[in-house]
Amino acid sequence: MRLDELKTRIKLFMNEFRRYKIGIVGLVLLVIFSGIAIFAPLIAPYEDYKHWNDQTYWEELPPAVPPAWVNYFSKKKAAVQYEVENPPVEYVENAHIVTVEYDFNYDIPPKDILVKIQTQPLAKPAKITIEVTRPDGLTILIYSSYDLYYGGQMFKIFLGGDMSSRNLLIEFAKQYDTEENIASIEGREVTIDVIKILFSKAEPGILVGTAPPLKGKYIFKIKIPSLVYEEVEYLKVVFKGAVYGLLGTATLKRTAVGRDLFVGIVWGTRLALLIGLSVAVISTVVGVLYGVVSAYLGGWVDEVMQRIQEIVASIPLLPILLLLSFLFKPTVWHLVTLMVIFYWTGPVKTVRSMALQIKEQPYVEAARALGASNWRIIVRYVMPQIIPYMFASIALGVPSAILTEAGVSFLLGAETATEPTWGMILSDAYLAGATISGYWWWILTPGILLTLTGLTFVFIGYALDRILSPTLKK
Amino acid sequence: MASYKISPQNAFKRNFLEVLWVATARYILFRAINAFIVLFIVMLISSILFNAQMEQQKYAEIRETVAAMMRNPELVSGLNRTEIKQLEQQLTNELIEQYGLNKPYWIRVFYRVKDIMLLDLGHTQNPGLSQTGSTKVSDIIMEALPRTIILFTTGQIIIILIGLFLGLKAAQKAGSLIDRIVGFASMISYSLPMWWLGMIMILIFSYKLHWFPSSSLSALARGDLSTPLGALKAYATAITLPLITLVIVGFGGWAYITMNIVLATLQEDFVMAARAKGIPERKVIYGHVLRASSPPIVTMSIISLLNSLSGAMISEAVFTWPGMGRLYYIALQQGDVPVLLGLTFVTTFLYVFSMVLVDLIYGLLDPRVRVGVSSST
Amino acid sequence: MLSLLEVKNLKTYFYTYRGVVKAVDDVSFELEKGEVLGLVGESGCGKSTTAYSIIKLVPPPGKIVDGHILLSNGDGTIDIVKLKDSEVRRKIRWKRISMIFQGAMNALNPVYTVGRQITEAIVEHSDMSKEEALERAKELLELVGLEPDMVKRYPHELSGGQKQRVFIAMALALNPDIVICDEPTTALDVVVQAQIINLLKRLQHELKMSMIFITHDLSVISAIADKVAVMYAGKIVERGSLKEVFSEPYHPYTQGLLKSVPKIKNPEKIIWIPGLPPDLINPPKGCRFHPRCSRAMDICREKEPPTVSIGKNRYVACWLYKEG
Repeated sequence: MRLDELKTRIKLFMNEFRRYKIGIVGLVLLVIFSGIAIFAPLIAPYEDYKHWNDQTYWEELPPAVPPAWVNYFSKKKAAVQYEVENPPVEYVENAHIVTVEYDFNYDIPPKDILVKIQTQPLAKPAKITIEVTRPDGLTILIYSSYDLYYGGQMFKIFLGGDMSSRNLLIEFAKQYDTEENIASIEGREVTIDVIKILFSKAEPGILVGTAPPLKGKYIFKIKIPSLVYEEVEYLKVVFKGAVYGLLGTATLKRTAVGRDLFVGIVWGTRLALLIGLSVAVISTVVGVLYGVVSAYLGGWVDEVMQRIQEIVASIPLLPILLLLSFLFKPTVWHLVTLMVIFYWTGPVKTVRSMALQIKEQPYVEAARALGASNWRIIVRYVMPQIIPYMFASIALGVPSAILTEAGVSFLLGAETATEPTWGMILSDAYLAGATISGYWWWILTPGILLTLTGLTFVFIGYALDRILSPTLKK
Repeated sequence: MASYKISPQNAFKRNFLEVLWVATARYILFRAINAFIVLFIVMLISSILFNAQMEQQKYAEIRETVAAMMRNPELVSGLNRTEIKQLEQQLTNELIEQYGLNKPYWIRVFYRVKDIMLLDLGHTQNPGLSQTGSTKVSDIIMEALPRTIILFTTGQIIIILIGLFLGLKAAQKAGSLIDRIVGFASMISYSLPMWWLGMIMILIFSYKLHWFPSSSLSALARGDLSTPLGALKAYATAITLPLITLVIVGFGGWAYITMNIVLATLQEDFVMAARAKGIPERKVIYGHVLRASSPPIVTMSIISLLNSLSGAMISEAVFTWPGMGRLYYIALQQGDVPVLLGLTFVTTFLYVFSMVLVDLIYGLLDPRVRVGVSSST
Repeated sequence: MLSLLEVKNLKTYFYTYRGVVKAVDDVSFELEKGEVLGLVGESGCGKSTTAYSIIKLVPPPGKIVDGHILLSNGDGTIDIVKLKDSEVRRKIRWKRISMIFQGAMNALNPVYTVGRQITEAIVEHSDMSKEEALERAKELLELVGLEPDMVKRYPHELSGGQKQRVFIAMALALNPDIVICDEPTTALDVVVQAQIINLLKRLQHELKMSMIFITHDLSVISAIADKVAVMYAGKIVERGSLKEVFSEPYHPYTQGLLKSVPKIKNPEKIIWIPGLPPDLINPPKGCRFHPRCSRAMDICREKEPPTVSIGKNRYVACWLYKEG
């Protein structure tokens, strides 16, 4: 087809397309998603993504907490993530003392407090202690390390989980609570939220978590005894928020460590689009070519090709996919290849009948009489009529591919996946009990995005379909 | 054909017999053979892939059997060390021979496929899968299969009823609001992951509202299964959420397909002819139009039904509905190969033979497909 | 004496998103008992729409906008335009006026047997049981020259000609007063065409049927019609008996039509009418034929010509002629 012919055709097509607002919506969405996919490194750090499965990398994040903006919508404000890095260090009486002030003006306390310390090697191994002065005037020792710190390496204290801090805080709470409550907690000490104790009023209910929050300024003093003035190289205190980030956090499997869902989601966009488009494009092109060639060659070649297509088309996708996935523990690209192997059969029948129809047309006969080769006829007469159908077919194939991958990932779990797809995120969610624990942010976001991405292509495909199908034109 | 009095009643009977006669003719037979070929190929490939694992298991079984046999005091009395070892070896070899493990690779594969095709699906190591404690894969699957069918079939019936009705209405009032609703519902159908909707449903109706239990199994466990009313209530509670999820995701596609096909049919001349004959509009739509549209509707719908089967199976895992889908999930998580192979077989079987069923139904509905007796007169 | 059917000033318009298509614009004619009226014209001139209007079967977005369709009923007349749809369905359709469609290929439902489709019409409008209706259906098939056994056949098992005969049989099922034939032979090959025409002639003669025969084929009209109405662009331009119109056409369009039919006996040069039929959303001002008329005058471009009578039952709408 000549270039100007092509240009006018495209112009006509765009005009038609404009009539269908839904196609426009689809295009807009496509641009948005492509934008996210392409600019992913700018929106969410690649480092975060690379370390998706790295437990140490994510240790500073709270596990399974809702997004930060939830605070705008609820009366009870949840503590936001607060980090203090390298606060001022005093050297007093043979010890480094680090003072950290924390303003607690929330209703829901932080999920945990993480203290990371690194000093130069100490002359004498030290016992690290942490003391806190509460707004109500009480000063408590909340931590006294069991193991001695030798210096030189990073020392990490998770106040919520550490035995020392837990015992100290529980003992503190028992002073203020009722006999009943103390008895009721017998044997279930591991379920107590000690951080909540720290931030609650010293009154009955403090042990079981029903005491109201104690708002105000908290002063933490971290003491590292040392003989000589060895430097504190690094100190960080992280007050893990009860909310975090744009999309909340998910947990790393079977740990209490959270990872930023925003990262997973944004980078998942790339994978979703890549998977969907590659499967749809490759399988449709292969299928179309198969159909055209089969129709064109005719005779027993056609028969054989059709039988083969029927057999492959009869194989149910999911069971085989699952079986093979189980065997090979596939990467995403294995999945793509497998899906192409099954999806190419889709367009064949329709394309074949279209090609057969065109083959019978008088202008094809005329062309042949003029000596046109088979190839030329296919390219010049058959393909131009099939290409619009091909595009509609591709558009409609994308959601199917994305959903299949998501489904398979969901079933298989994301054990060793280094690159999370949305399906894997959902798989994690389900296994972590997100549905029964109410972690709605973990479930909603990947699913909504899956649906939206699918809808994007469905909208576009719908508009294309309407333009190309005369029966539906009104 | 013997001539007999033609009346409207036995005109229908005649057609049915005709279909049966034609059904054994080329076309259906051909499709059935096709189905077998597919099944065979699928199981062949699966067996080849899993051969190594299956055989390892067989060897382990043999070792266990021999070890058990060796514990029999009568057998080993009066034998010395070397003789015991020899006996062990001999028994092992006998069993290997019996299971055909010493034959060449291709024959072993062939036997495995033959076994499966003859419905001997082997055993699993995991006794917890069956309610009766049986380790036969066929037992386990036969327990799960009916439950899947109950859920899925009920859902499909509801979907068909809603979808047909909506689709017909939408086709009649083209361009109106209901047309748009159907279009949009079908797009949702196509893009919304059923299993994800399931998770959302659990989140809302189980976690937030506490109307339903989060797991079908627990619903069944909590219910009183001894009385019929109690059992019914338990089942109803268990099945409601999965059923609603299935229907919400599914009806759009059906409605859309029906609408399109009916729209095309409405433009046919015979519809106008029927109206010209003074047939009331309701009879025209539900009689002529629906009937004439039914062959393509049925075909397209069964295809979309089969496609939604995979979504439904994954949903079973989400709801812990004790059907095939959930079995798949467990088998995958635990790496239970015999069950996986058995499931593959059953699913593929259902899949390919539903397609044969579609052809049969199509032939029943569309007289043009019945190439046969009557056209020769 | 009242005519059997009188169409007066019928206007049927289609309200499409591109504009209002005036498909039938002020059409009038009469049909007497036992007469065959031939309605002639090019494709798209509004013949079929007129036919559908008579039994109020115009598909949306079409509507009968104005006019009367008077069917004689005992001593008086019914105006079909004023009837409710349900009444048209019960009293008029098939019982008093039936229709044979173009291309019976698609006018028969492929999933029902022929017998079922015939009996359906009978049962709907009469008290007969299904068995009685079936007997009647078999009689009807014999009437049109088919085997009564064909009641159990499906449409796809029949040839084109057979299907059309079936439809004719079906149309006669309730002994209607009027049968409208909408291009019944157009989709058939010439030999079968002749058979069907002969069948229709025979039936019309035997049963003394009144027919409206719609076609664009002048030769078919000449074989069967008693009187002719020529339609152009939604209007009737000339009316009269077959002999009068064909031997002495008045309207330039009719003259053009007749000249463009090849004649075996007089091998004159064929002259065709230049130009294309007009767009019915925006028809030409004045006489709709004027852009293609070799004798167009100034007034033709300005005002529409009224229908004038130039003889007994002889009408023409052209500025070339005056009343009388």
